[in-house]
Amino acid sequence: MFSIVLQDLLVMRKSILLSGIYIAVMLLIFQNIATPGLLAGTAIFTAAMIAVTYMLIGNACAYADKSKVDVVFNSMPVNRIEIVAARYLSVYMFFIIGIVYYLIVTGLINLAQLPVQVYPLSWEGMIGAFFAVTLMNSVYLPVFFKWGYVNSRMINFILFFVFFFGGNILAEAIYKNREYAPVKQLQGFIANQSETLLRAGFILLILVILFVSILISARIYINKEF
Amino acid sequence: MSLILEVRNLKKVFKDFTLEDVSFSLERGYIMGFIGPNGSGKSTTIKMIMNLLKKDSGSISVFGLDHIRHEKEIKNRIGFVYDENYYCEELTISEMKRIITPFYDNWDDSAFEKYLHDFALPARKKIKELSKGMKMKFSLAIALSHHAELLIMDEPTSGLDPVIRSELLEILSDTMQDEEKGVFFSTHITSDLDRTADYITFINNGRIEFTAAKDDILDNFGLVKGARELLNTDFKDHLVGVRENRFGFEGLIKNKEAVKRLFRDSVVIEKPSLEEIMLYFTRRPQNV
Repeated sequence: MFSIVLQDLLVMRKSILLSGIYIAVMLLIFQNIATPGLLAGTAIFTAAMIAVTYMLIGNACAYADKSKVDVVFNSMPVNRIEIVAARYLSVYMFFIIGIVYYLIVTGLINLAQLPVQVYPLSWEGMIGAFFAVTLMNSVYLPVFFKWGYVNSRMINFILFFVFFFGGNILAEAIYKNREYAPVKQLQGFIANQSETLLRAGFILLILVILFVSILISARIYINKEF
Repeated sequence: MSLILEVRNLKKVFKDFTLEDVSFSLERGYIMGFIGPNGSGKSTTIKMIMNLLKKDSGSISVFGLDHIRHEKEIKNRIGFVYDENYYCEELTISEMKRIITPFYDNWDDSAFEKYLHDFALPARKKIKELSKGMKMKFSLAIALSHHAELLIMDEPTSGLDPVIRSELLEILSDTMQDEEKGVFFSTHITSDLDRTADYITFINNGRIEFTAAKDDILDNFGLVKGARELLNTDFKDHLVGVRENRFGFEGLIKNKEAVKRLFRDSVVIEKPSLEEIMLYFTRRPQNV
């Protein structure tokens, strides 16, 4: 399984190098777009991670589809579930790469004392981005396994836009409606819970979504013909 | 008798094509040529053996094991070479090897290095930069470097020049020095099998026409020539296919000895090539 992830990393090495530049560009663009306040850092980081994983996993899927590498892997002693799991693992490898780039880019901006507002990486940001990346790819990958890259790219594109701008729109909506009763109630409910419980609950939700998505993808892929 | 591959009553229905009642078997130590015209079902059969396509019915055993229940174990002992390159073209030979190695229990690095050397394959070159012949040799090097007991090859010589084809066939013959292996080799270039194959299975329009030892096929079948008048007699029943010309006819018969006995000097019988046999079988409906 790790070999398949390694293949994704090797094939995507040029795109991986470029993704650092994308993150820097996104930080600059979001200077004027992001809603000020506590959620701005989370929204910017999430958007950056969405963009990086969208680009890398999209390219990796496109390449796998074009070169028909599934024929080779399915002719080797590899379980089909391993092939599916490897694709999901690649998402998180690209996510980790995105985090590393974010840290490097924000670190360099701080070091150079550029007039750019940077938001330090926070737990909330990490969990928010992890949730968004998981949800986006949990919807996309079963569609990719079912219909292949060409027939699923529009869905991936729509998902990207929803998640890329959705985070910021959501943060903005919460910030603007912070005095509205249901928002206040939600904030109160969240404030009454311990931080550990909230994080654990959120992570559990993410894992359930991921598990269901892997099950659907595996079911599709096991019955697939090449 | 140790069967390395056994296919029984294989069936697969597509919208516009049906593969039906496909049965054959291969013993250890032999090469079986799987011949047939384009679109006859060769690749479909191979894909079903490799479980790339799901069979509708029938059974496939490799090394005496069911090919689905023991899929991983079987594929550990199979080497495959397909008609085109399916390896990642963006990677170099050594990178691709690094990805493949962990999958096989019996991967032999020194054997791989030896094949790279013997086939003059540059380890640092990207696969997309290799010629078609070199890509084929790379596939073969991978297939041979984990000590596969069964090689499954789907049109490996298609699109290769005669020099590379001949080289590839020599490598195959060398591989078979070890009599524990078996090769199942599909091709529509029947001349590839003249030197190498021990058995021939001929598939046409999704059905097996015959499966037998190559020598028996060449001994039993006959290319017969005679006067046109003969075609108006019982002689026609012996023909698989026929081609008429101004001077008479030329046709293929299944039982050379029987025809010799019955028609003696009225016909001339020659030994056919595999290609001629395939041609007459394929043309049969229009010519008999």
